[in-house]
Amino acid sequence: MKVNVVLFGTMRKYASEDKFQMEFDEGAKLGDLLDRLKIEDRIYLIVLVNGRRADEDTPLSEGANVHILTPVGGG
Amino acid sequence: MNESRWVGARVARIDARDKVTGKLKFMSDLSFPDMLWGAVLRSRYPHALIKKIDISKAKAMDDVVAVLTHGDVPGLNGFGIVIPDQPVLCFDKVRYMGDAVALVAATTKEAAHAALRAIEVEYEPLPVVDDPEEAMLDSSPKVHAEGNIHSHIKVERGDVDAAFREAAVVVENTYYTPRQMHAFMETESGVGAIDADGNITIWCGSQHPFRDQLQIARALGMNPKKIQVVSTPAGGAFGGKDEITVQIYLALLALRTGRPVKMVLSREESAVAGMKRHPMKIRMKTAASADGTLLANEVRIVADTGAYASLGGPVVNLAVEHSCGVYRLPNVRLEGFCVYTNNGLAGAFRGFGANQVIFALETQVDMIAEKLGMDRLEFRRKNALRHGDVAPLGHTMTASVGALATLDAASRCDLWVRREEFKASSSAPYKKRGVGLATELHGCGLGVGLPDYGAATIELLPDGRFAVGVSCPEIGQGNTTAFVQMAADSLGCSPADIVVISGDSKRTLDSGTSTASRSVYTGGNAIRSAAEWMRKTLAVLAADVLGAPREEIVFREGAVLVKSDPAKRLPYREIARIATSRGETLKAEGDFIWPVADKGVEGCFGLPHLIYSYITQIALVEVDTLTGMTEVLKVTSIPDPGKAINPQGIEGQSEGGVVMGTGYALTEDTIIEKGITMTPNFSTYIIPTSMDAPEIETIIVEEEEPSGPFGAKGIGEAVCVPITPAITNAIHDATGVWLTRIPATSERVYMALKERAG
Repeated sequence: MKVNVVLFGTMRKYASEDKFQMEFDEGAKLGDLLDRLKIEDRIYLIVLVNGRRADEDTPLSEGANVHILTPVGGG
Repeated sequence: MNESRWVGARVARIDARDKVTGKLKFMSDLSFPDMLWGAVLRSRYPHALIKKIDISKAKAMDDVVAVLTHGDVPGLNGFGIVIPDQPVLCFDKVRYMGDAVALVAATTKEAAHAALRAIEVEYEPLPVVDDPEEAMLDSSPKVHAEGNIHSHIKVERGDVDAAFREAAVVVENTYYTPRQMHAFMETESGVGAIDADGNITIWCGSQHPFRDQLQIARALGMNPKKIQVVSTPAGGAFGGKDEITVQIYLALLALRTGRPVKMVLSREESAVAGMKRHPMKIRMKTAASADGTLLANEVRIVADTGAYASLGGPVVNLAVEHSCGVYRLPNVRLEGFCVYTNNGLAGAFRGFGANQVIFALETQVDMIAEKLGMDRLEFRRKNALRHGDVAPLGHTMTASVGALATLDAASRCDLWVRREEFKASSSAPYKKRGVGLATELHGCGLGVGLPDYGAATIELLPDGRFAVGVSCPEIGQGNTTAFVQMAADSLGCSPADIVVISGDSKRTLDSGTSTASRSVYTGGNAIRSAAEWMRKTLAVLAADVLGAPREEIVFREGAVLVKSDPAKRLPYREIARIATSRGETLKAEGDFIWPVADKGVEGCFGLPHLIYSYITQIALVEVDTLTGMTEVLKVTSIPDPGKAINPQGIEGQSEGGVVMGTGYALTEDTIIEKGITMTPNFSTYIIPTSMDAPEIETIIVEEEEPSGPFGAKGIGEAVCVPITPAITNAIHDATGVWLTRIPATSERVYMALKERAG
């Protein structure tokens, strides 16, 4: 299955592009995606899968939109 | 389902009764059996090396249960929303007087503070860095080893130099703005507790429980799932509780002692250690043609962020964005520096960088209009951005644009129409009256490059009411009442049928922050998304029970009805009874991601915004020319929040914002000399009281935003921004004196009058 990945802010360092697709076998979880991107520091990290906060155990699905960012703020 | 019965109505705040009767418990009111008191040892110097920390005497004291230092931080010894450059507990050096060096937990508050006095810390003082411009020099002592410039951004568009050459009028000034204190009624406070399974709960008024959870987890080296943060209610925040305050201290002490620990900062400790608005030095050069068309704006901002970054970088980014206000400016050169010093700590504060630059810009605009002999309001109308315009940062204004609408409403309001009449009736011959106005736009949400999202839950409770969960905390702004109104209209029931769960990382989904004028827009859109799912769920069950097709199902007056036969109805409490009897829980989730502008600004996360709220404010002042004292007599505030979900709530925001902006204009300044806070309490830091509040009229202009819930945008910040230059422009109107430095204290106005008189 293919999932759509977007990296924001400082997370952009984990890939050459900000937006790209990744392919996984059925049954893959978010943790597998983070492993493949070599994102090791996962405590201060927000990942959205289809607009919801997700954790390493969240299953991936065909066409899922994955947003990866560190927490931010603004006025 | 788009009926608006409750949206737009003057619904009483859902928390009003409990707040005014004192029934509501804020975090500083909480108490638990076997609870300890926590306290923080702050630095003795604004800048010093730590040579030795001796806690032996404190640990040996009766009633002292724990004394912690940097070695007791199990995870990362640092916090900070963007970069974790602030130590939880300092180990090698201190960078401001609020730096934490040790923590104590004791059986009484008095014992905790006695233990603080028994801790011996040996320091080696370092030179104090207290001037941001000097701090930028290579020769300056370093607050952080990496250098004193935390961030620097630059935006350039058009041909600025050519525009200045061709201009008929060029105005150039340097402006100085003060270090405003949030002055929330409840200081940074809370309780931390740990259960038998090692799960930690932190009750602490703040502005984003899920981000707090991650910052605590990072410092404790703990799975975030084992940490619950409850952020509602907060006794005021205004941005000052966006960053971590006492949450990590509470968690560390609860973890070490195994007992609940409470901490309440004194006003003095809050004033020294807490966040402030960035003081800024703003050089602004603005050009216009002879017909009154603005041509160019050149801005250089130097912001004093104090000892740590927190949100200083984003604040300066937004200052740059807002430095051209509501105006069509095709040629801009904008630059901002965020600089470390030993002057306390600056970060998020209602307005987030706009207050400073709008004071400068709106003064410039009045000066240009005067030089050209143009009406101040008409000059603004002529140059205001319209829908479809390209904004100064290069993006297209495709969302609702209310700049003209608020200016047009201003031109018709009583205070403006009868301004000469008001000015003519001063209370004494030596008192001069003036009327000033100012306007701004204010970015809503986090902007480009920072995904801004929110989620909400709706659950049908066994009694037929709905529990609506949104994590954006209630910090006094009234968002929970707006959530009730939007949920009631989305579900076809009464506000009494809605229970809101707010600001709780365990009981809600992550809806992001209560900052950035975003929570009503984000929470409202997420509620509408969840309500759509809830209606589908209800329709399936009701269609089955009522024997009607699902497309015939409508939602009205607390019940599900069959459209063609309204006598066929199933009240929500009956649906709840049926679901309960079947062992079912009817629950729905919804989410929302913000739209963003068509173009970003390279290297500047958060710039620009797509959606803006707009506001014009007018002030009538009376200046005592013998003392320089300025009294604000009357204000008309004209916000465009999009659809006003609760007009009474907008009026409350408007009135509170006017008073906060009045304090910023006239009296408020946290004075720090050589790193030492000289104004640590309300005896020296002067905020307006009810006796100083002027008569305030609020005229709401609704330029509805199509992407907003029911057309709403956000208004929490804009309300406190243009009032400041409206007041200083009114002082000019009264006396002829231009003020380029605020607050416009009596002394400052008196000296300016004296200088003008020669």
